[in-house]
Amino acid sequence: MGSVERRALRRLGRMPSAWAGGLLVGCFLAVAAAAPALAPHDPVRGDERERLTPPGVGGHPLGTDALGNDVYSRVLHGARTSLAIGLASVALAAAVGIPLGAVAGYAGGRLDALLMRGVDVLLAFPGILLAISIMSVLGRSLGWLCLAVGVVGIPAFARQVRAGVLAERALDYVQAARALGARWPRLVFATILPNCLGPIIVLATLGLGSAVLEAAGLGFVGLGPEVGTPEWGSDISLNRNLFQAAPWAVVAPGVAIAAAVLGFNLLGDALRDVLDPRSS
Amino acid sequence: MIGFVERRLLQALLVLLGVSVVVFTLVRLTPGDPARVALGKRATETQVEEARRRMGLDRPLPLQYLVFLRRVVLEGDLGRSYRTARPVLSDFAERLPATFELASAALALALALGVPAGVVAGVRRGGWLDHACQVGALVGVSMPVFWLGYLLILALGGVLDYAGRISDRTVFAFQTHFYLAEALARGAWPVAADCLRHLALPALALSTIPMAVVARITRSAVAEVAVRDFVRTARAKGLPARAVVLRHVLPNALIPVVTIAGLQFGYLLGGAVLTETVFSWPGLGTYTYDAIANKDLPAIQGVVLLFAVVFVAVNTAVDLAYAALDPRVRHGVR
Repeated sequence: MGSVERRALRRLGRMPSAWAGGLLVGCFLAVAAAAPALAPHDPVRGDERERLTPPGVGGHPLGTDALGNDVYSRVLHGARTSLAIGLASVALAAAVGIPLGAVAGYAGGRLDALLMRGVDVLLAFPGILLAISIMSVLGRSLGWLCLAVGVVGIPAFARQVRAGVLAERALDYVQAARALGARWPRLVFATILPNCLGPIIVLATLGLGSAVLEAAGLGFVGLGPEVGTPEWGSDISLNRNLFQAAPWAVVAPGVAIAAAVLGFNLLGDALRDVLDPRSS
Repeated sequence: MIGFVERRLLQALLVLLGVSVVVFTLVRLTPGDPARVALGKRATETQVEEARRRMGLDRPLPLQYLVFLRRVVLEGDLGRSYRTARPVLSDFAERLPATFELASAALALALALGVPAGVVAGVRRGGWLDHACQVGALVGVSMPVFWLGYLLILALGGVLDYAGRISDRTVFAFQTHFYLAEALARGAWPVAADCLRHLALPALALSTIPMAVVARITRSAVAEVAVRDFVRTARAKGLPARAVVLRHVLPNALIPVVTIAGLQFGYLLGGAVLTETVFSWPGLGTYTYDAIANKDLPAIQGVVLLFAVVFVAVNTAVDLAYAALDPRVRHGVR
């Protein structure tokens, strides 16, 4: 670790929002990892006779849902689903968006225009509607959910990386590397890209938050993972018609979503203050 | 050399073409043979073959795309909803006004609360209100909008005597589908009050994210303008602090706010899909939700196409308005 990174970490350590975000994200990761050990009940094999038990009754700390499943256990297991979707979709968005933006920014001219108009097309679909249309064609499944949420995330990475590469391209060290005979793939991916890493890390962190939020929205409209899988958005949807009578089954998964997303947002904002010189 | 306006319009047109390609691809990716779906399970192989020819499904894909494009653009034909058995476009005509009312109300709320909050936060940076706004904005953007809807019903549903649907819809016989606007225009105050009661909570839920964004942009714009020389001059002249902010700082800070507000419109359309269902607001969001629940693909794809067109149109209009206000944009100066 170089001195720059160490200084960044020190600054991060002095920010209360970084600590708060880190704590929330840490809890989220820990819960996702240890869900089977922490959950008092099987999240899917509830007892029909125990439907809509209020919190604290019969060994159900957060009550049971419309199918008699333990809400607490489902919320814990839901963290796994959300984390899986978040990681997979952000990885996909980065894997497509970063090379796209890097090549567009470095090549410039017609190729740049062509690639970025493609990105504009993706951006023309408002909100989660693109994901909705993809999911409605492919049908509910965890894999397709990751794909749909990932596709929505591509433009942000492509634009960020393109802007970064454009700014770096003209700098002396790039000219020097080119003068030494480095060819474009090496210049783009080995010389320039490591210097654009800060904003990418920020984007990935914030992207995890929006992926969790989008996946929950898709789950809510009935386009989540396979039926029965513990997933926060789908769980809210499942209990929505009974929420006046059994608010806990709707409130609890929502608190989990908000806490996880807030954690990523806090951490992402703090990282931006430290890593992204242009924004501060 | 063509001007900024022409270039921007051309760009919007290209994006819309791209959008149509994406939607067409999704239509074609849809599992199941459309001809067989249209005829039902008991159709014979020859009937299906005949239907395929009639529907143009035997032609090469690029040609099918052109036919699709011509139908959508020239005839406004988005297909027929499986669920309502009506042309998707007439369903839209019925549902879009309500969504428009909801989105407008949410945007109005976001501006009415977000701008003052951002101004105060920007003028007194580091004050308690600044911190409160920042925390509030961060929490606001982290909550799922539909979940917030349920929380609002739990908290305020009793106060507002909130009861599902607009009750007078059948009694009152609306001529249009702009419920609130029509009730107001016809002077039917009890009906308007009822509409307002039903609109208040979804609009509040939907407004949180735009409100947070508006407050954040206003804050930074105000903070940026507040240190300019003309503000110092105004203050040196002896103008009261209030007048300096209202007359000199705010007008100069509002340009980016207006742009962002326009761009939030797209979010509002997507958010409406998640919010309307919670409150049974009879707009396109509820329509989309029902379409998803019934695997009504023509309706879903129609909604997506329509929202994308509206979104691109709004973005283009915002850009053009921005250029009209700021000559630097027109001439490509950064």
